[in-house]
Amino acid sequence: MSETAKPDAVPDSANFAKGRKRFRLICLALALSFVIIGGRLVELGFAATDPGSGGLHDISSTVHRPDIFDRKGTLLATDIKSATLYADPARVIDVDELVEQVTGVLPGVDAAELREKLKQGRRFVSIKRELSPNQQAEVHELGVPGLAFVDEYRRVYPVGSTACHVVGHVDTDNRGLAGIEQFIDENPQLSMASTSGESVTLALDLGVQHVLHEELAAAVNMYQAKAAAGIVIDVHSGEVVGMASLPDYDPNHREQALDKDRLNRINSGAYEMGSVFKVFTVASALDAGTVNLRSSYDASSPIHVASFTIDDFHGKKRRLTVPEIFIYSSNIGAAKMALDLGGDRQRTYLTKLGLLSRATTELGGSASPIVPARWEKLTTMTVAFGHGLSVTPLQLASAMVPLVNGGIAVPLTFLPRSREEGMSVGTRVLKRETSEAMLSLLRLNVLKGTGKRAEVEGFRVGGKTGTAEKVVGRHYSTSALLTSFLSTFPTDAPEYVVLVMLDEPQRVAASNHEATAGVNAAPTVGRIIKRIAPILGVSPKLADDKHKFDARLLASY
Amino acid sequence: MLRFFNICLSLALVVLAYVIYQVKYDTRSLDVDIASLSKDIEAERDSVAVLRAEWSLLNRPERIERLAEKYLDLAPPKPQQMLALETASPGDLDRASAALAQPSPPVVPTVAKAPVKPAAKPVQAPSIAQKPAKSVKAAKPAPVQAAAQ
Repeated sequence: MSETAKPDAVPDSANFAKGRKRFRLICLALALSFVIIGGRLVELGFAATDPGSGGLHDISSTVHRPDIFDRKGTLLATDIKSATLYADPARVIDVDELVEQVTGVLPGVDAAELREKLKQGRRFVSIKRELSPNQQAEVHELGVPGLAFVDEYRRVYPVGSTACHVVGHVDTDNRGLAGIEQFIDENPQLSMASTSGESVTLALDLGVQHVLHEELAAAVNMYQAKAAAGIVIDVHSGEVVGMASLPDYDPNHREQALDKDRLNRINSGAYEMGSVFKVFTVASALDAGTVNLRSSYDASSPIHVASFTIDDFHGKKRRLTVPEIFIYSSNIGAAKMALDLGGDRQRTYLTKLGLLSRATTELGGSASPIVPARWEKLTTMTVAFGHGLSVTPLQLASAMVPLVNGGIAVPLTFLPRSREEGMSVGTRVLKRETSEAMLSLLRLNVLKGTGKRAEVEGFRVGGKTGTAEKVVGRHYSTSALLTSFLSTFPTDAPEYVVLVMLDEPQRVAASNHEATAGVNAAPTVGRIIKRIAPILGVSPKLADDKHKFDARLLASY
Repeated sequence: MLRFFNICLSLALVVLAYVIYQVKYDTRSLDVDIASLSKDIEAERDSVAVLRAEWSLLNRPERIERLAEKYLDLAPPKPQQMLALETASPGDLDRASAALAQPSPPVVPTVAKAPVKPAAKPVQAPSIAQKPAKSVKAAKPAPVQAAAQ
């Protein structure tokens, strides 16, 4: 370059031509580089700008979880941002001063522990989570170097314990530990984006859930039971619209969930359910055609098998027809019916109803049924009235569904599903006629049998009681009972299955000093149905004109 | 000619430099706006989340129930008080409207102790009666309106 620029006193033509050539070359090189730079500029101009470059960073260290709603759009769980105070020991000038200042503002912080942590020399020492805005301002006012805040999401459950076993809870890092919360983590595709953020909707109805929760709590109190559990299922869609188990916990205080006594009995406990199993025995026998509603069995004397004696609770000491066996809950009759059916067929039916395998739903932690290793003649007889086989209440309620909806076994779900879809994903396990016969038996049992106290005016409840003696030590105890009532309503066109189970109800005055299912579980179901039927939109049907719609009552509003 | 052209170019350069400078500053201030707006949105979103949680907390069924028991003179609906429109006979409706026309309260709900539930539907709207599980939240149709429909 310097050569060409050098002034030449006498430029000869050759030199001049050479210089021109060089000049052109340089121009070309310059033009080329400008084009390249220009092109790059244009490219940069068109490139999408990074939205994060505006100086905004999500500094939250915990995961943001989708909101959880019930089927009617009530918020069950949401995330709230709160500040976490932390210290960076590398930037702390005076540890003692910091500890003193911080503990002055936040009395909950353990000074010795904090000092210890700060001296270990890590870069991040979390001091206190979930600061209130006031506390945050106060700490900020201290102006101590080395302290900083980070925003973290905190899960809150506005409805508290009402829906705890379904919704579940999260750990300190906002990861799902139980219930639907855990399921969401395993299936992130569930959450639906909307204008207000991600959300998951459940099949649960908070109104029903509340009634169930409250009535179970009342029952525990009234009958002085150790525990209670209940579930409400839509028989066509297989949706669980309500599920509660007491004692329960407040998911906002997750440490309570560790208590073993607060486990979800519906799903995680397997029990010998007792006489409620007769619904399956009768249904199987009717379906297989080994009996019909006019068949009868001799129930006048107990059966002796090996060293066991099978006897009736309130023996009628005579021949009983199938409906009588059902409503008087005759163990002898049920055992004989199961013998006629045969062990193999009995097992086939129980398998088809899902009573011999673990129930799979969105909720984790479901217990496996405890099935006897060898299915002997005695097993056939005891299982017929619900002993010798332990199942979860969830399985029991689920097995009830095909008995009342026309014979279709619908897999249960905690997520919304339409009735059409439920019926199409289900499989037929029983004949339609069997289901109809079962409905008439269930209704009869409430009208005339052990389930009388479950009757609710207008809502046509049908159901079967079950009083099982719990195994205490190595023997069945006559005082520790597990009572249950497995029911459906309305029996003329079933829509819901309701199961209530009470653990060790006592012989109190409220239940006429008795402790069988007919005086505690059955009336509890009645009270629940009375309140949930209007919420679920089941319209009452009243038998006679006298009870028809009363306009005078209406006017009093 | 060439000189004039050069002068024009250098002028254009100055103008362009100024324009680009201006545009750059505008974008920078817009960026700042965006950042502060997104921050505001984020803050609003957070407070909306808090408010929604609070709303849900205040609307807990047990709380509503307690308040209703305390302040409302209502009792849970009896089966006799529920009527699905499609099954109602004209007589039912006549009686209902006649009863409403003369507001003499013959029957006062006496079950004051029973849990009062305003959320329950006193009268079934037809759509709800057909498809119960999917019914709309809480209780919309007051008995008066539904009967008068």
